[in-house]
Amino acid sequence: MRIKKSAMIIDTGEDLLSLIESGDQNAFTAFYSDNFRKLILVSDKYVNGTHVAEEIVQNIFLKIWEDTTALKGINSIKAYLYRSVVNASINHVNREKNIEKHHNLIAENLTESDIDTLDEQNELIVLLHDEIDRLPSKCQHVFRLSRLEGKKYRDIALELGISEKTVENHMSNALKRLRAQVLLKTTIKNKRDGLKYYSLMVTFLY
Amino acid sequence: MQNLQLRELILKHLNDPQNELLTDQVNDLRKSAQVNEDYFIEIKRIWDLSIKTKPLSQVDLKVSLRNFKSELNKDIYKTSWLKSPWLRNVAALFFLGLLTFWIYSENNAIKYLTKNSNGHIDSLVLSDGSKIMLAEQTIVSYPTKFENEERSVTLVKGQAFFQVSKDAKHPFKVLIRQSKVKVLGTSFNINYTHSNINLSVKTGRVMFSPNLNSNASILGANEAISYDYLKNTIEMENGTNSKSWLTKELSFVDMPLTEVCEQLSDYYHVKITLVDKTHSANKFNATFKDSSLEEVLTVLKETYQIQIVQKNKTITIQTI
Repeated sequence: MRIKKSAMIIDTGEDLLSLIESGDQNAFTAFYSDNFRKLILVSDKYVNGTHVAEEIVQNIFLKIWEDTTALKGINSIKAYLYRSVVNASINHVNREKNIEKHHNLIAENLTESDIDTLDEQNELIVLLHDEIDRLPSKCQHVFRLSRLEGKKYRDIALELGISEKTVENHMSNALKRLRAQVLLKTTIKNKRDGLKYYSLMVTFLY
Repeated sequence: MQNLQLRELILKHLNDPQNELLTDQVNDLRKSAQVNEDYFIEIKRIWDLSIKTKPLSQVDLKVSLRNFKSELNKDIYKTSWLKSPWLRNVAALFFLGLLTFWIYSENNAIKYLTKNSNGHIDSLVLSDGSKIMLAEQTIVSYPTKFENEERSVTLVKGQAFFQVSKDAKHPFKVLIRQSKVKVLGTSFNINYTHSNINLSVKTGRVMFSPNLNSNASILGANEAISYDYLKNTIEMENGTNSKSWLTKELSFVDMPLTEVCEQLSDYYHVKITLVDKTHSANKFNATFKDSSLEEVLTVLKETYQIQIVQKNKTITIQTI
């Protein structure tokens, strides 16, 4: 099953409202596909369990499909989704010691510009995830052991029965490919968003 | 320098950050050319962000989308016929008739809810996205949906910090007794005590009406007032620490000792009297996070020549 990348730009509540009212399930699924993983990253920080996070995010989208009344008068659908996910995640967490800290997080951290920055980073993380999946298998295996499991090259070499130099080569290859893909995809995105003078370096800034 | 060699060196360094030789080599290369610096930042960014992809490893894109589509389909029997224009029009006319009848025969009131925070700090998100942080023993009354020209909520009791979503077409109002705070989109704190309504603005501008008869005041960011509703008097205040009940952070910037004592009284709920014979001109500059009163008083002693005496529930600070 191929889900086409959403061709529409959905910025405001009205945009999404029109899409839903047209009854186009495929378009709505494409919209979901473009956004749900970034939102899972957000929810995951609160609920500490990716499956729960995915359920929470999915429910928010399904609720919107069923009831579009909340969409009227929303300027930024992105901000609305981010805040809904945070609130739903916190509600899920219930009575815990750190409940005060969580309430502070809602109030303090999610201004519109915070959301923009967070969204850009999350988009990059989703992109990286997909590109890591596309790395050649040995190279991918080494990269995961290094970054996702935090192992040193020496230990990876011992574990896989290869030389440390080979490990270094795989890592070098991985980084070369990932960097190329990230540069390529961010260029395309920037062109699409009409940001002609947008320096690619900004994507990489902390 | 070739990208390949640079990359290999950077990776060796990132794998072993404790190695000073590698660190020095990389830093030298970074300083020697802007392209090297840019390249390093790009590689490091990918290196750092890759860990964050971990939650996504548990998400299978195809499976997730398949589940999503099937959930949407479950819904289709309920709503699809509503999406067909013809049937929709018929349904609309029918329901319109019923609705007209119903409006005349029923009192169509919007539901109002009350939130009571009881013994702990709580928070609330309104239908327009505005947030209210409630202190302990606070009650707020609000409608489930804002449908009029104005968005209106009531602070029935206690203290709350409001973060109001911008909506120039629908001003936001907070009602406290006879007083009103009106805003377009800002953040501010209201403390409703047994004698005063204390309003402190963090961002934006608000309009405060004490009651129907008096003139309204306009307050901007970092401005605060204290309205004594028993005496019907208003005073300007220093509002920097009005949100401390929530953040647990106290901030003093160039504050005279008299003001410091007042703020500490408010925050720690202790009576602090100042006997200042020397009229110390020293201004106090400090920030405290999650500190006890003892800790703050210790720092005060270091700044000023003072003697602190505690008798029952009162603390007297005397300058020497």
